[in-house]
Amino acid sequence: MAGIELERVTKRFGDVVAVDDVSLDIGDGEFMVLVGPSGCGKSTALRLVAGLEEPDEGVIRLDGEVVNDVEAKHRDLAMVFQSYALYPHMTVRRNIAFPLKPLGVDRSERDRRAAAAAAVLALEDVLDRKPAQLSGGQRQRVALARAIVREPRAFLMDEPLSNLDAKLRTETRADLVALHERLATTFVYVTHDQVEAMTMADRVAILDAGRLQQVGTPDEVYERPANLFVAGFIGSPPMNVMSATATDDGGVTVVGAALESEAGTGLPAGRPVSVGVRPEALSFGPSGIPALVDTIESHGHERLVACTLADGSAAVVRLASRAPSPKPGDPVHLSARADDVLVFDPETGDRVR
Amino acid sequence: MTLAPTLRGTGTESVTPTAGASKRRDRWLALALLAPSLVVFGVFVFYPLGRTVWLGFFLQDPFGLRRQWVGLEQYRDVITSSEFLNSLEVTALFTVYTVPTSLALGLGMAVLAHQKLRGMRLFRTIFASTVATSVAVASLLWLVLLQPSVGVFNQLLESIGREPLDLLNDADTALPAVAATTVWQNLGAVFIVTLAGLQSVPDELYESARVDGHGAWSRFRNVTIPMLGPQLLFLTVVLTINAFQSFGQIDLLTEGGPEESTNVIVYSIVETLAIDPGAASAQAVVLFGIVLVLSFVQFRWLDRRVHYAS
Amino acid sequence: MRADRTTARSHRRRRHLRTAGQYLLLTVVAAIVLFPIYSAVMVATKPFRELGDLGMLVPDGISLDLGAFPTAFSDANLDRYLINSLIVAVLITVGQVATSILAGYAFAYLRFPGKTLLFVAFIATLMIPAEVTIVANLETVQKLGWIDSYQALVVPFLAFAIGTFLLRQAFLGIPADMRDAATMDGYGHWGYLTRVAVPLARPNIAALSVFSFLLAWNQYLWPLLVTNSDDYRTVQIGLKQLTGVEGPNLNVIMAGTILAALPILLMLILFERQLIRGLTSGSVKG
Repeated sequence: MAGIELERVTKRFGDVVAVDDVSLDIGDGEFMVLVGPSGCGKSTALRLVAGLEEPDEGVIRLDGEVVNDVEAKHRDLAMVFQSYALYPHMTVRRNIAFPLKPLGVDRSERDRRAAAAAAVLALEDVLDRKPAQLSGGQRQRVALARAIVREPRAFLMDEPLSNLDAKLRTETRADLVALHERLATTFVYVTHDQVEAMTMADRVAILDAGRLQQVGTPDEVYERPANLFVAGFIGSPPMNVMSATATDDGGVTVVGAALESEAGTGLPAGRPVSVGVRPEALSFGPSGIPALVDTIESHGHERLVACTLADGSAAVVRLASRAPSPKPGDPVHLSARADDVLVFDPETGDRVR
Repeated sequence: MTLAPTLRGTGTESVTPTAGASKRRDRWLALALLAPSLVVFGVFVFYPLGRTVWLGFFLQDPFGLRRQWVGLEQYRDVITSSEFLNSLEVTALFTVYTVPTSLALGLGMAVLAHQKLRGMRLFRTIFASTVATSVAVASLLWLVLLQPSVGVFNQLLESIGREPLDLLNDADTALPAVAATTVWQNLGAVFIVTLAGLQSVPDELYESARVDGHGAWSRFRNVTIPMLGPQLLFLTVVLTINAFQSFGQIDLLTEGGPEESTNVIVYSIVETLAIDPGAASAQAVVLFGIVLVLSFVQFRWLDRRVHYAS
Repeated sequence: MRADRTTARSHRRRRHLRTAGQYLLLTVVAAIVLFPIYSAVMVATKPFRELGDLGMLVPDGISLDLGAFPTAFSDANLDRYLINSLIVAVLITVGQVATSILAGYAFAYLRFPGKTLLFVAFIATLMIPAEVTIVANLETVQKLGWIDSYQALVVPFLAFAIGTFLLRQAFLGIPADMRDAATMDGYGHWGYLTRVAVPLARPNIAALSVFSFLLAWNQYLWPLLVTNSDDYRTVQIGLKQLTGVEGPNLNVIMAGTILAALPILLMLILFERQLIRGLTSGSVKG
């Protein structure tokens, strides 16, 4: 088990800064998910922890120990790859036992431990097959078994579910969370899928363009995104972001209509700001921001009502499926509770309230 | 477990890691992995190339006892000697006889074998079979076929009422006869490479040419040949170099005769080697220059006409 | 209706005719290609007195005479030559495969200064024909005292640029994740090379082996220059001896020729695919 610490880590590939001055503390036994769009540096960050890449600047620590100069094979970390990287010429048994050989584990012990790891992942029946003879889900589990067999200090996973079909992916998500609980070991998990991040993580680290945007529990990053990028990236559909103006009473107006903001913006009146409101925090009422209903998408358990504001910007309102709903073309008024209204600085993107 | 020395509690300022420990290891490993090849290439390819050029500057007796610097004089003598010019001409002729013929026949066989017919595997193996024959085997097979008194070739001539011929002992026919054995020996390799090229041409290209109303010949001219560009280029260069390196077939079939009509460059080098190593070296250097220039010209000239499928 | 059926039938007949024509053409070409080998077999298996008559081209079983084979073995030392060829070709093949694996690995996986230059040097060895360097190489081998030795026949060929390229390509074709996975599983370069890269490159290694063996077995000029003694002569040089020793005994010469060609012909039949892979590897870009 290990705590993992990145301190001001930077990694460049030529002119591209893949990881830009990232500092991140991952607690012992924590399930940390690194999430962000493709090219945000999350995989590079994981590979830096793994030792597959060397940082240009900064320090990486495992259990408080600097490992910058420690080779990957000596870091005692296990990794699951997006492609699974199973050795095609070896049986499942040999694939799983493969990491034990360099540790000097003798043959019978290797077989015993490989069988035990296979049992955890329900692979007993396919031990003598080659990877090509397995289904996608089985291959994924072999990759996991190969990672757990060594009882490493931490698990690193790079998009391990993205090659599975949607149904299997949902099931495996739960399996992975259960596995994490059972092993009680640090997991560092990279994904571009914010649903995976939100459903599995103890804490989520959101990256964009090599920079760390926010670290927090799924609830924290959802309720209190640090900036407009996080607000837009986490949540589906994303948070509504509307142009607004600060008022002298500490509130904001959107298209001339007042929106309360809990403790006041603290900004000078007349200052342009961006306000963010989650779709489920918006409601239709007798007063509020005037808008026109565009389209209504039904998802069974909910309905998404897309509206256009007078200034041309768009906002989505999430309704429970049974709630009364306007029709396309209806004029409506949008309102929100004061503590659901977040205020961002439109220049820096940072949240001010 | 081996861990680097602990640096617990270093300051928070950014630390530049001592990068490159693994890079340095990579260098030594690379050197170790390349060393066997580099030693062999160094001792048996690069050193002797330089050494050959150097030896070409010396007059030398066959026993290596006396050696006298003559500089470029020997190269000049070699290039202007009628024997060497004859060797050059013979080699050039031999190349002209063998390369286009081998290419055309091998390609024809590949086109013939590039069809879906039952039993094609057997035909392909037969067509490819001459690739397995060495120059010595091929030469002896033909030596016996062309044997003047009891060889099958003359018996066939006799059976149609023609005079028997001694092809290998006639200055007019010896070189074409040797070339024929070489063409036969080349067929297998040309067939294999061109067939592989044909098989990599997507069927859609033929189908669309067919839909556009192109007949078999037009499809061959306008689809097959351009698509085989890389293979034909490769074969042209390799066959030309091979032709310039020919030795075994001459050694076994004609020993350079009759009347020097088959005395190709390499045969001349080997003959000279025993009596005048310096002159042999100079000839070898000239051969190297010719091969280099020829392959370069062929690459430049043909490469522009070759379409590489991406 | 009826007209349709007639056209369909004439179509079918035309197709049958076409197929028959193709088979005829294939057979004629195959016969021409095989003729020298066929006639060699006939000459070698008929008694000497029957030569000089076209009738000998007909296999009849009555006049079958295999006496030329033992003669080739005993009188002309062919058994010794064949063993020498086998030893030399196996050593060269094993050596070339080994050095090509190592060098190919370095070019595929390692970063080191001068990589491009060294790669160009490897390519350059293909532009320097062995015939050009024989004078100096012969001198080297004489100085080393290697004339009439297996070293002389083997050592100069223990590196092979085409083999290096073939294996470099094979290694580059292995997904990068495999290397990373092996690293995470605790293996360094050597562990990855022996346990993952080489097993995955097996098809290319097989192709290289067949190709190397073919080239080594068929060598002519170099073995001719560095061997004088029967103890080290290879079978190709043995064939030259045979023409001298057996003079007009064409059936013995052909028997020897067949014996020299047989191992490679067998290899072609058994490993045709690997041989084709080896031969075509040079002709594709990259």
